[in-house]
Amino acid sequence: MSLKGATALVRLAQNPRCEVLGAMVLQEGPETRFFERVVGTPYDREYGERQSSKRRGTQFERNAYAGDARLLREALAPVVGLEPDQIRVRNLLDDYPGTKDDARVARLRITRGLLKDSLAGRVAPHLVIQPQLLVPTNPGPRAYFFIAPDVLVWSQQHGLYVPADLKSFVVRENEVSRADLARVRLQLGAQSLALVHEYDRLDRGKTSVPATGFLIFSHPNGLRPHAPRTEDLRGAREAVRIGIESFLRHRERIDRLRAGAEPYTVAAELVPHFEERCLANCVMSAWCRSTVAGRARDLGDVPGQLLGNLELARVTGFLLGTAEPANDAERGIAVELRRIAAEHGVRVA
Amino acid sequence: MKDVEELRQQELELERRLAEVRHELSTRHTPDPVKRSAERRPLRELVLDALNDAGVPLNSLLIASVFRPLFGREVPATRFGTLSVDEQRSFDSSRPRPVYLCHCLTHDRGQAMKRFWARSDWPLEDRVIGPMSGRVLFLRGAIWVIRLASSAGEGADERLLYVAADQARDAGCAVKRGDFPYGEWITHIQAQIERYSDDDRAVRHEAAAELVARLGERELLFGAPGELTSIPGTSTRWNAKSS
Amino acid sequence: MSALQDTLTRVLARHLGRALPIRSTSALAADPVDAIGIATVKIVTEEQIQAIAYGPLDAEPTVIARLDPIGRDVADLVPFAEFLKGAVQRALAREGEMRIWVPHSETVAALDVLGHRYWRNQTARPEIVRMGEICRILAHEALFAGQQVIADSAQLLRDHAITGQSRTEDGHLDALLAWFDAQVADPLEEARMRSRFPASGVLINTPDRRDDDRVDRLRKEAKSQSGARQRATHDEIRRILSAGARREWNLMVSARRAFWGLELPTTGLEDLVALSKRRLSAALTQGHFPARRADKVAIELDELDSAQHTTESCMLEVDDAARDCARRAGASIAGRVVARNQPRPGRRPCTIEVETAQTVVRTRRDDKVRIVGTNVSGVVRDIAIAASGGTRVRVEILNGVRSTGVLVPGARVEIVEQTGGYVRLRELSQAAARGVWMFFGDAAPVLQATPRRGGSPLTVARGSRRP
Repeated sequence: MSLKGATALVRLAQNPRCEVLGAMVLQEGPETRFFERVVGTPYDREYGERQSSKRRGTQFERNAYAGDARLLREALAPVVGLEPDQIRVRNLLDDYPGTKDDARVARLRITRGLLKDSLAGRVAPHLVIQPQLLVPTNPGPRAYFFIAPDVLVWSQQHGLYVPADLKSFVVRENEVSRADLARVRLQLGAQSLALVHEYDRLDRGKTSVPATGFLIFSHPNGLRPHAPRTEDLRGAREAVRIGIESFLRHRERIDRLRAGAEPYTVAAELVPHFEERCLANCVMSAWCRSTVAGRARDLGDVPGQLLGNLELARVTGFLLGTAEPANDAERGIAVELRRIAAEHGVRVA
Repeated sequence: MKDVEELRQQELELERRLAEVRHELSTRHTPDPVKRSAERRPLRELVLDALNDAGVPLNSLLIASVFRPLFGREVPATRFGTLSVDEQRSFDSSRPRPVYLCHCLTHDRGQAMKRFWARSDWPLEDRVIGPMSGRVLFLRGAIWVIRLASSAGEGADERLLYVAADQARDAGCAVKRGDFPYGEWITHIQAQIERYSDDDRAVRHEAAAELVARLGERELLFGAPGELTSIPGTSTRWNAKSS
Repeated sequence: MSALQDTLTRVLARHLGRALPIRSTSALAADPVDAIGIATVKIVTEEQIQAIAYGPLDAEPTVIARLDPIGRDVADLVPFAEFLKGAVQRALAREGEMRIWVPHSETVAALDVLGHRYWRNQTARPEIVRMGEICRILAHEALFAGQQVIADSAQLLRDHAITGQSRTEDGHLDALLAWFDAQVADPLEEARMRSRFPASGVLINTPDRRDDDRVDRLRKEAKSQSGARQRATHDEIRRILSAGARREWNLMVSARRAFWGLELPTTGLEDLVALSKRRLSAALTQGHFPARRADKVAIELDELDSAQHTTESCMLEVDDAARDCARRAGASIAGRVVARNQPRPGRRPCTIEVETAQTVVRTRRDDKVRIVGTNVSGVVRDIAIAASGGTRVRVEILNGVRSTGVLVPGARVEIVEQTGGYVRLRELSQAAARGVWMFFGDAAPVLQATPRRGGSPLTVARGSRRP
């Protein structure tokens, strides 16, 4: 799985300062291949989606789209403001199935046509399944990101399409874990931002696209969709926008350094931004972490914020008598550390 | 260096696979004559016959799900892609055919809906997809499958019955495990079709008249070309591979 | 514990190469006689349990490996259902005393989803329905601070000790355990190596060991097989699942050993044990009724809040380390009684003045407070800077006025906030009958403007204080 589309934008939004991430987004091929080329050994940890998860996700979508999207029509009828039977559906996978670029381009063309029809007041579907949108980042390599919401829903309240995403992981009482919710909100934010670009292409900013989207999870029993959750995407959209801006800056620097070679070749010259979260979601975390080995940030984000770039050996030196505090902050640290050590029965110098 | 436990697991796995292959070979010696005959016929002919039987355009996903129990034939999605390309090549060649497989066309732009298949000897308006035609075609396709299951009788491949039940469930019919009230399902679905069919027919009829005036013969079968879609970074100055 | 204390304790733990306890007492009472364990392996995103190891803690577990966890047939879960039923019956015989060890919170979540699936399932067998209800009850009990039923071994270790790695890495139970094992020479490297395999109730699926994908593939293959071939495939599935479930069980056993190995006293937990027993026996006998209506949700939130306050209060009472932290944060005042005003001995009114060297105190006027280790409680009436530079606090004593040993000048005392364990059950139960707009209305009532009393709101408030 390579870093592209909304996945790339979500990662950039989560860690906009990381240049190594920028290089991974620029580099063709999967992340694990990037790791292998930079580190020199194969990636040996779990990576990518499990077969059982992929199958559940596919089954959930298939169920949702079956019967001219009957279950989706029922779930989204209040948003559209019509009875389920009155809702018009257009499944772009019927128009042009497939996942290759030619299929994406074709669905992008059709999506743009439907947006244009809706703005012109012509008959348009209320639900567009598997539309295709695009966020431009030209000029430069990786000049755009294809963004594919699961559904565009005609919102009666806003008089516009808003994105909706189907998530097959089980939720109870429609409550989602914060970590999962943060990630999927960013995904929806990327879709909303892409919609802003598409409407902007059509009417040069006359249409104000609301920062709203819907998440549709599945019930614990079976794969029926839950009632859609309305998500406020202002923060998510802004985070994605910042991520893209950072990517443009990283791209400029990487392009200068690589001088035509592949992005991975200059990874060692880039400035990573290692965070605790990287441990859970980035193949390069161990490699980037080596830049903070033996320093406060190796203990986590909060220690990094509190102790800055201090070496751990220096901090324990305050205890052992091998280092002298150089300022008031370090003196405060030394006093507190000695107190903690005494509490734990550790002898201090 | 693998340990003994790993090697034993490998041995078990290989024995299991060998037994599987031997079983596969043994079943091939006693083929079902109907299915065997269907295996020999080109996919193109089977699809034309199915469309003729259904009398309405069919979605390739539905066709594939029905061919599995009817003919014991797996048709991957990509096969339909090559079928479309082959059919267009055949049309372009100097040897005409009495009937072609073709795609349904969108009512406004006359572009192909590649998953919806029709016959070239059908009136154009029966091959046009209006705003509600997707619903109508799904419902009609569901009735066709339910009728197939109903007429298959005793000894029918039970997978066909489950395909019919799935279609009925997707159409909002009450479906109970092991119960196949075909008549009830068809009645329920017919009632839904009646809700949309008149308006849908009118839209398709009008669209067909307009498309005939605008498109050539080939386009009326395989769809009008799409407009140019501008993708950033596709000029020769910037290319992820070349830069 | 403040962020700085947490950070520097981690630095120290990293330096020493071992986890450091951060409490002086245990938050968990001693294991009752027949404590049991449950460890599960689920199918990711399906949230279906595909293997479960369970049983008493002093023996090898019983393992159920489910060949078709997504199917409708749940006969394979009946032995677990029976086991759980037996455990619950024993608990009820002891007025709700029960202890279930699990490796981590994902096990509780898996049991809760299992509960959701079957507790109202009209087509499932009665024992499975009861199992579902029990699972929901247990998962609900786990939400209460200070509960004594579910021993989440990973969380217990994290709550009672700090390691020399990051919090994120502490989330991996096997990596966490590296810091509690004296046999491990380099816990940092060992933890990072251990984190390659998951410890969250799922099968391993690394490039060199794709157990999860393999089981998925074998299940699919088994559907089109029969006879000896199918049996061989099923045996292989069972082998992988059983190994996965045992791995989780072993992590739990190791974590439990590490926790009790801290040898923290299990004193002062009687109130929490009693509360847990009462909640559990009520739910097991009367049933589980999740709150859905707004007024019921409010009651539940009060109950959760009350449990939180009671637990904090209990911790401050018995745990020196916790009190030490509270003191440094100003949440506890340690000082001396410097004056007492009690016109009639042993009777109200009684006011004491306490002086402390602490310059940071979080107590405010009108706060209800109590003196640790006594039955004395009162209300703060004044706080001022002491001549010594510390803080002087005047407290009106409302309860325990006869405690002459405490309320005497020179006595050392420690004052903490008297957090209430009060649930507004009576008031909230009447909300439905009274149609309270906050719960049952669509719009707020329109308030009539009242004539303004003399002075600013601050003046009015000051005037309403007691001298």
